[in-house]
Amino acid sequence: MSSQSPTLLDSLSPTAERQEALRARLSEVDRSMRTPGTFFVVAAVLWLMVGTLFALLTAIKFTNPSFLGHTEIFTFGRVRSAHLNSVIYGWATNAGFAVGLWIMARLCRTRVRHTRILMAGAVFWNLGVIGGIIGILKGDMVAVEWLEMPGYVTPLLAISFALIGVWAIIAFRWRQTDHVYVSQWYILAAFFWLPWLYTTAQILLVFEPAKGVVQSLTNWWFAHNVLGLWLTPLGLGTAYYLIPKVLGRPIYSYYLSVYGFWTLALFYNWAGVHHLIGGPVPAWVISAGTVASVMMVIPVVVVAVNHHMTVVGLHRQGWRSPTIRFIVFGAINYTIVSLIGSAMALRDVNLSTHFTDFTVGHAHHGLYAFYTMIMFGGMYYMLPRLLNREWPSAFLIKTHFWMTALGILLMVNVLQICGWIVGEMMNQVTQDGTVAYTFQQIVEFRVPWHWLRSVSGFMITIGHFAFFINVVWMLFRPSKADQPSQPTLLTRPTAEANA
Amino acid sequence: MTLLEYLGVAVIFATLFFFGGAFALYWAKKNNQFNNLEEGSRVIFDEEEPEGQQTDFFPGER
Amino acid sequence: MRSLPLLFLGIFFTLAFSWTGIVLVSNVQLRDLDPATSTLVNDVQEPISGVTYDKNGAEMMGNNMSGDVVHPQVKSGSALRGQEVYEQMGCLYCHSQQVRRAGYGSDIARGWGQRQSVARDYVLEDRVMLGTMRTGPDLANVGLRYDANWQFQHLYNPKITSPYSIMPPYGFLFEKQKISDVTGPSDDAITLPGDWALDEGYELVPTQRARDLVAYLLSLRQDYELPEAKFEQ
Repeated sequence: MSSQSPTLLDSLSPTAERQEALRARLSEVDRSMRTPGTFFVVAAVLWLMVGTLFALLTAIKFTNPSFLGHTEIFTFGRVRSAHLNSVIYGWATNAGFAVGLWIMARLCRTRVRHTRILMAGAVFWNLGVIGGIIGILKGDMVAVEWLEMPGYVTPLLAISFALIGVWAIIAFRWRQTDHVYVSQWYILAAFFWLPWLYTTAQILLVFEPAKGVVQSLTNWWFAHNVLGLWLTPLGLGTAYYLIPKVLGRPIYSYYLSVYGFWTLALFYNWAGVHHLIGGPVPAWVISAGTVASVMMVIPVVVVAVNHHMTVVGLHRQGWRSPTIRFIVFGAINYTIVSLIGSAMALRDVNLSTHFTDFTVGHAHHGLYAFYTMIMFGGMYYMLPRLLNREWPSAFLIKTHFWMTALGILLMVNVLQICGWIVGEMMNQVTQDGTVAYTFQQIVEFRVPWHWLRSVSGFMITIGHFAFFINVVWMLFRPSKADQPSQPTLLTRPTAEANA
Repeated sequence: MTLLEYLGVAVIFATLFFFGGAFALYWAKKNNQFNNLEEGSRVIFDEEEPEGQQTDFFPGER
Repeated sequence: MRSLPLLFLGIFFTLAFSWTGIVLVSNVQLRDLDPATSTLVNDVQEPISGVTYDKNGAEMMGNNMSGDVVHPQVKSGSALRGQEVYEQMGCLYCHSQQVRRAGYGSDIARGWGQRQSVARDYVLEDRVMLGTMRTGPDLANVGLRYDANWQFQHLYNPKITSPYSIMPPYGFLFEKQKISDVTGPSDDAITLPGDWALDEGYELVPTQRARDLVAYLLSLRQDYELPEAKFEQ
């Protein structure tokens, strides 16, 4: 084991030899990820709470529009954007950094180098998002969905991301394994795709806006791909690592996982333009987007089969693991949300779902029921290993699971049922060419659904508080009090368990 | 350009892509990229977290 | 799989595929789209319609009919400043600005426009806000539906004009002020009906931002025909 750590130049030099085989034990990798990993988790959880607060304000405004209505910074349009940006760039991205980079380090089997670069990237990323949210609230918002953060923070975000990305590449370059596991593909690809998407979108939408509806096309190419090529690969990479890992059973078919990766990479990035169906954009783009959206059935079914076959027969054991509960919930919802998404890209279905709460429900289905739940699962597995401490309360974990799982299912159902009915009401035209329902009737129809949605949001909030308390408790509890020297999760299997 | 010329260009590119893909697959097969494919699924386990052993439980409930 | 360069090539080309397709090609396709007269003419001033080809098979772009006005037109300074207010308030999240063709949805039956919106309608916009949600009605032609007074009342509190509305009020874009003893009521003061009236001796005036925003809303009108978009009969 070499005593001095390599310099940054050594690590980046293309000619440097790989060090003597120093295949680190997993616990050594975990220890070297302790500071940055914990930082990302804490940042993510704080952003989750901030995002939840903005979500609650938004929900109240739906049922009581004049709530905080006299304060400009809390007007609906800004609070809504603050919610979106804090959950996407605050919560989801920090969570993806935490879990994704930790899985990357573990699969590279090398004690990570240059955590200071990673920490610098982490700190500046979060400062950038804070600046962005403040910018949105004070009125510097860019009116492009998913890109609301003002132009003066985006270079900072880009540089921070580059620092984090460089770190990932260094870790990968010095890996001590021959084989590149499928999770590494997903994570590596995600780290390559996001900067490309982001710079293109920033240039064509913020700094040198493109002409006419090219803006809209670029907007949806970007926004849908943040989900499809950044968050989805991170979520799937985590599931592909942790499902077999926790259960101690290799993935059902490694071949299928490879196949699923390439079909996802090929089709997902065309799908975004289905947000413009019926709009003033060239018809061929919409057709291409529709075809790609439908083709997404292939990778989705492949992943579904693979995950299901890995878990099958171990449901009872898996249920006893918090990680598996959250991740299997997320994986099942990945299948459902993706199939709904493919259907929504069909013109006839889109006619009813477009411009309604159905789309909002779909976004929450993908980002919460799939991605966020998988990230919760990842954190439940990762944090005890980073901190060498056990989770303080099983009750809080169960509260977290049931409240968020039932809450998000209620929310998705409420939004999509309401959205579908609204879509039907909107489009119904009587025989003499007039509309069957006035806009007033439609607005009034939505009111009770807004209340139901607030109830579901309240349930999710309770779950988030349970998680938040558990994380804070874990961080600040004395490390040696009333617990074994090692987390129970890490102890070697006992003799009875082995027998 | 007329529709026919567009089609011609499209056919040329489609052919290139098709044979490019086919060649990539051929190359991969020839270079043993597909050998022991399923073995890759086991690299996540080691002596600390071995295959065949569940590694996560609710605290205090294992 | 062990070959990293191959993995990277794949990762690169998959995204390059849609980047080229969606971003680059649409840029090339729409780059030359400019405001036009409602009918295009060929070299001998005969009206042409649709895409036509010359004798060599090349696509023949028509010319604007001389003496006719081109659309869309540049917005006034106030409307352009109002567009920024519209962006900052996040109006986009509840209001779309696009009319879908007759037969696909009920946009035209609802009176939201006389014709389908087309790409050319947006070529002069700094910020294209087609929108993806209709919590409120479409605004592509809102300038044709209401006058300035309605807009001011509605912005001050939407329940004045639409009691069922769930739109947030924008009272912070207005100022309540004491009616001047010297000059009398301001010319800009907004009339408020019935219960909404202010206390005796006070009046409500819009700020500059409110006036700009209303100028922008009044400028939203696709009330012209384009070569590719004629009014529905």
